[in-house]
Amino acid sequence: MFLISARRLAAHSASLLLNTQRRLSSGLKGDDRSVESVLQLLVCPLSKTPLRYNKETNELINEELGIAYPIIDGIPNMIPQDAKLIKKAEGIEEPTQS
Amino acid sequence: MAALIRSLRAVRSLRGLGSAVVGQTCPTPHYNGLRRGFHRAALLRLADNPKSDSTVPPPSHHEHYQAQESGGTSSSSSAGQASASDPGTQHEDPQPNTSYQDQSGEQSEDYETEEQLQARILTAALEFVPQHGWTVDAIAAGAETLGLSAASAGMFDNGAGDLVLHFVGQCNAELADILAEQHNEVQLGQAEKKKTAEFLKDAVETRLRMLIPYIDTWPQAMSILLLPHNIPESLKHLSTLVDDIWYYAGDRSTDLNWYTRRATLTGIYNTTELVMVQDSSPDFEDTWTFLDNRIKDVVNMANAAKQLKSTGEAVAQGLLGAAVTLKNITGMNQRR
Amino acid sequence: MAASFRALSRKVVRQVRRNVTFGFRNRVRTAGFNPELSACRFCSGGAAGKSTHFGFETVSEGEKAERVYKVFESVAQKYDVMNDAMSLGIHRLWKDALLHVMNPQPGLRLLDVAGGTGDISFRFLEYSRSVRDRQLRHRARANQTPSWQQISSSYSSEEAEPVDSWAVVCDINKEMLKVGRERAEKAGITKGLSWVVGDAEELPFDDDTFDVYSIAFGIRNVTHIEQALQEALRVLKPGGRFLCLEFSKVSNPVLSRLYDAYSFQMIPVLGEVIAGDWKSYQYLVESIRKFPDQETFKDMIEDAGFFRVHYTNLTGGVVAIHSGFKL
Repeated sequence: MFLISARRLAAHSASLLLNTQRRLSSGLKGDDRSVESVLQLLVCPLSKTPLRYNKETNELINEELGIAYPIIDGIPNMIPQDAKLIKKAEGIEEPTQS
Repeated sequence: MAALIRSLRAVRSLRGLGSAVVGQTCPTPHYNGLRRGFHRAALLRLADNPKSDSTVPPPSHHEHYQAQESGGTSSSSSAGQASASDPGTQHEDPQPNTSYQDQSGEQSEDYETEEQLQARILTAALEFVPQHGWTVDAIAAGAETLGLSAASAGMFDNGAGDLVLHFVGQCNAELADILAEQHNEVQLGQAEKKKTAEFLKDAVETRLRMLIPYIDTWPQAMSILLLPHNIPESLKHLSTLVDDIWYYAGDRSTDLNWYTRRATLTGIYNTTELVMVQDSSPDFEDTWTFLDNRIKDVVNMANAAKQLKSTGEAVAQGLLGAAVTLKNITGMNQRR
Repeated sequence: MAASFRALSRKVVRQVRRNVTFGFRNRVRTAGFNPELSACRFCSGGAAGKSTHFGFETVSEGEKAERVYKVFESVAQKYDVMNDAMSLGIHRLWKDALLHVMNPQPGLRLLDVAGGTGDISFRFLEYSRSVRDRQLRHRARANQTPSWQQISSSYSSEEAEPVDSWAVVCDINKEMLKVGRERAEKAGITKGLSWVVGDAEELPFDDDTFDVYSIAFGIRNVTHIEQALQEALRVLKPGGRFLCLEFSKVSNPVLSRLYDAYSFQMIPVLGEVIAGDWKSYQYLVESIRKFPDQETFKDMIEDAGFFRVHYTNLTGGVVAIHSGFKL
């Protein structure tokens, strides 16, 4: 129990630090900034673990469960049904309707 | 994905069901009280030990917590935990006010009620009164020092009025303690009994000195106390204060004196308070002089009244004697 | 110590959840994706056998969420206009009353669930801004003739930078959020406002994140109200406040009859005329009738673990504000 909590704390603080660094280093303005600022609050609604922001595909990725939440038009879509699976093994990403 | 959500919801409903089951087996207020008690104690210790996050919780506490959270249902908690939870619940039930020890060996406080938590928030808020005045802002700042969100200031429906009344009540209680202590000392023979005038002066001065840290903002507090919805409470505090002072001054009267004494002391206290608020002399010397004079006036009046009464009695007796003598002389007293 | 207990319990629960979710990948692969998802959801809901109410209709739980989504998707554009028409503009007073009850200090974080077009969040930011202005003015006035003590303390102390108020609008329907964002841009509100698509029963936020959780006219659309309440308790900081503005039972019988007549005769007609959607507004009116009354809802909030739960009736009980604290 203790080990898990320590690991979770470490993971959480690491991701928080990463997010803060990213936020500070990127000189964004306007719409981008409001998206970035809310991203530091968001966690996966299913497992409540922090997410990784993938800027290229504009998605929030939960590494553990291998799912990605899309950010459409600057609004993150955190509904589990609308997230898509990332199949790393087969290298195929199945498209979804959101 | 849908199956995932379904399974999560099943887990959650099982958990909810479990707690409902426990609620039915244990008497509900007891269980709720335990739960509340735990949360309170948790909050207390959050306030008391902010650095103890890193300590490893001792296993007995772990079981104790498991007993409350898992509610005895299986969900996915291991069988080991379920067995450990039983001694936990058994330990819980006979003692509703469980006090248990920290790793550091400190005794944590028993669980507190909402009123106690509110009192703690208001006491913490007093620190911020010089900065924010007697307002909800001060209460919010006080709540934050206890580790609560500033939104908890919404608990106080009366807002600033709650803060002022809490402060007044606190001062009155402090004064009562001081007077009781002095009384004990006199009883034990360690101190001499003061004369009434001196006793009153000292008591009022002690009480007014408690206002000194907040004297700049006290006019605001006084105006809050005079608001219509606060008047009943503030009058109650004032009458308690005056009653306490007279009780420890030795007043055990049961006649009209009871009322006149309290009325005069109320008048003295209020006027002295007003003088104090706009007094700028060093250590409020002018205020204490004013207080002294007022008490002297009252004592003089009391003496004068007594004298008047005895004089009046003497005069009346004299007149009666004269009348009897006259009757004797004229012979009207004789029975024929 | 206490924080670690609570955090520990949550980690246990999360571990439980994770144990369950680890198996999901296989299950989803076999179940297939969104094209069949709605069908699957429907099947699974029907198979599970749990039903709930959708207005006066009885539907399966899985179906309710979808139908609610469709209702708001179709009314999103005309939502604000319809609100004004139906309540004769009184809904603005109700929302103002909610803010007065909230009485937010500057620097708080609000989660506006089912916030849709952002009415509550706009008001929240406006209110916080005016409170902050008032505080600054008061401080400036008090500092006009500073004492020596104040001057020396101002030299020595470094006041922390004031935290800005932040409102996060969370709604299950992105059409509503889009409309809200356009409104914000038009009103010129840029800072301190964020938009997230999320489910009230499964909020995508961490524990102890928000100072205030508000849900205005949204909780009756949630399929599992207890779950939404538990999620609210989870995301609130200790000392945080839960506020719910919702239609409720009218106590006065005369008013009640007038209200019923108005609701069932006028509102669907208005819906057809203004929004071109009679059924959605029929649902609205029916869902109001199905929602538990003030005392029942208060008990539900207390059961979820909130303290000092109070409610205030507005407009004779047509609308009620429930408030609870996480202590």
